[in-house]
Amino acid sequence: MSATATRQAPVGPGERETASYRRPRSRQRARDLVSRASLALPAAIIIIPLLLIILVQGVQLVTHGENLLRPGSADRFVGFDNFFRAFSDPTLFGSIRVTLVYVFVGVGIEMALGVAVALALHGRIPGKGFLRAIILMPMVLTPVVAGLMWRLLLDPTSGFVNWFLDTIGIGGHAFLGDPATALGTVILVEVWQNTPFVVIIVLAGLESLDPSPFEAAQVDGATGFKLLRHITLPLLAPVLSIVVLLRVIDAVKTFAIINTMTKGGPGTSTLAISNYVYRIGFETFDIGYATTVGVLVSLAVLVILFPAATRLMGLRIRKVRR
Amino acid sequence: MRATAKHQSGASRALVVAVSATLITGGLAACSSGGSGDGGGDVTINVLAEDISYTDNWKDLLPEFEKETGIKVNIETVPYSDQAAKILLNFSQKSSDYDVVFTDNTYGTGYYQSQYVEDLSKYEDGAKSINTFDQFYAPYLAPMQTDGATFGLPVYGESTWLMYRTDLFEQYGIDGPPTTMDELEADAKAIYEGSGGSVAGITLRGAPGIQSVYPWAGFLRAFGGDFYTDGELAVDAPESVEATQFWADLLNNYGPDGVANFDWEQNRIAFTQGTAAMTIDATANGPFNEDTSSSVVAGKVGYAAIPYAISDAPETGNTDNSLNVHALYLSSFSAQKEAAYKFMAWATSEAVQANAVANTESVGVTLQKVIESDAYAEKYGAFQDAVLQQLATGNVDYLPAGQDANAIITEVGQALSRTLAGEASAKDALTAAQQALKTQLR
Repeated sequence: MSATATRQAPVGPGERETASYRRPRSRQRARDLVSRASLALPAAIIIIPLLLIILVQGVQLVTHGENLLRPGSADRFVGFDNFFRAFSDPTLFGSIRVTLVYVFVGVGIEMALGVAVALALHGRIPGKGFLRAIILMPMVLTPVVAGLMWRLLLDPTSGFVNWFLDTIGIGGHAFLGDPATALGTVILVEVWQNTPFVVIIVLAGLESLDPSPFEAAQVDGATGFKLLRHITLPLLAPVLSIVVLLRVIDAVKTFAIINTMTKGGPGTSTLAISNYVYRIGFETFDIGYATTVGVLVSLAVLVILFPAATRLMGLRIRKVRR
Repeated sequence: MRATAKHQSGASRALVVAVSATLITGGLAACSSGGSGDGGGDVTINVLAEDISYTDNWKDLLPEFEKETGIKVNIETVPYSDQAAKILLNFSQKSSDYDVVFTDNTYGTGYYQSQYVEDLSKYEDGAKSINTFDQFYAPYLAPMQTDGATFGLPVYGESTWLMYRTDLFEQYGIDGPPTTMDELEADAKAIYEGSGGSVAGITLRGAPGIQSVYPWAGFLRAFGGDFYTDGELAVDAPESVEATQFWADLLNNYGPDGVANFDWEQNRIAFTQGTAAMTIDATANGPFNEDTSSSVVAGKVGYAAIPYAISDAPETGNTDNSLNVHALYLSSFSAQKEAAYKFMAWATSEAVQANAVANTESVGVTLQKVIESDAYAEKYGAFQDAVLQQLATGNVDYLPAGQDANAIITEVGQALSRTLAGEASAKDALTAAQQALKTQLR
């Protein structure tokens, strides 16, 4: 940024000559290069060796059958066996299905609810600061605490939720113990915890919108839903895109909520990818295979999300330039 | 303008150099700060322990030990379910961070096979005045003994048993505890249906992994099964399938709501809160059942052997009650082995165990003298005989042990959970588990 500013700084013809006299162009370019390199150096010192170590170690792990309980297994070369095993692993495919449902349903509800709440809080309403603080509370909790708290609340024997449902005559249900309701319940906790993130970002986006398109539309007679459909949402599109992207990336990685609430059960009904990788890596200590599954999933996420992220970032840059 | 840009550029570079220098020197400092942490010359040992009452008892008494021996002891506790991963990661990196680990023999045997933990025989004489192997109740020491080596000192042990509500059995006209699996099912049905579903016939742990596998292994043995057939892993053997289907049907038909996620604690709470008429679990549950401050069933619980589905208890020793021991193991990578062993001998000594009986819940103490003491009889009299009887017949091979134990327990646990959830039949789930294990353990 500073290099760009220096290059674009308007200088008079006389000044330019003096500068060229003092500093030959090639030398200046070299100095610029060194200057830029020196800025990247601290990060590079840490990031590049780490990346190399991870890459080399990763290749070593996915091509070997290492199991922590078997000393010497790290030297057992298996080639692509771990990959073939992954492609024929029904539990892995089941966990991908669970993760996709979790992401699409969870993020979908979060977006719909989050935008709705943000629109309701937009403008001058009494106690807005207080409401915003209250809404933020679930987001402040770590997922482990949120998961444990909800697990206790939903406990069929001593939990508040079942007691309350019993009291009002609906009758309790073991929400986490029934495979038909376990995933839905876990998704609701995900929604409860992360909708505030959507609210806060969308609210900030709403408050930074230029009021003139709204005024023009109102002069033309647009109100209510029309205003929302044709003015608010299109103007918010870049913000919404970024929020969706961030929420999807976060939801794909979900681990703590599921691990604390159901550990992937009953059966495999809530076993998301991260929980499956954890199970392979840290319960059976099959490190080679766990790394392979982790690499495959990370690559899949990158392939799917990277173009979307690039497009969204391009969209933002174009908007800024416009 | 140009001067300003140049000034900024110079300032930036100075900042970069400063940050780089700080990072590099910081890194060097960090590299060179790996001190012994032994507190100024005294020997310091680190112990990774289960977060339970036995550990709390050590913590209370540690100052005396430290004063007498000059050995400083740091005890770090982690929940049981996270412990195996932490220990194994430590061992596999050949780290000397933990000198002693406290875990159960299912994992300990594997650690010994992998040479992660030491044979203690050569250290015994060094702490003879504190404790010796022959003072332990023999069945508790046996799981950590092989080929003349003793690789762990037992802290607490347990078996499994049937716990049943005597008041409910009487109310529904059931005469005594069930002695066969058919009777167990009939009794569960009678109470569940007789109470209109308000009291579950039986509650068991249903959560995936070791939680469900531990009590389920009793059903496996009760049907005459084993994890191995002729030395080959066979978790999908007919007896195993039959036991699993029976177990799942029993819980689905007469178990409490949410049983599919029950771990030890939830199962214990369900039983002590009067939600169920029977449960099969560890002998360590006894004191919790009889604790009048937290149990509504205190004084109303009977304790009995786990029934069999086959005609008699097998004479081969394949009994359907466990003998599970949680012990202290000495890391092969410890730099303070003598001091670490001294702590192990002290932590399992008579004075320490007697203090545990007096002040905490510790029905599983492991020294013969303490188990036979008056204090023990006074505190655990309600079920002492039943505990000792179960220990005497406890199956040392109840769960798979050794290097493959984790994989087998995890896969079978998943198969149980899938069967209970109705995702697959017992046969399909166990066949899938067997296939997965064949791939993993080749």
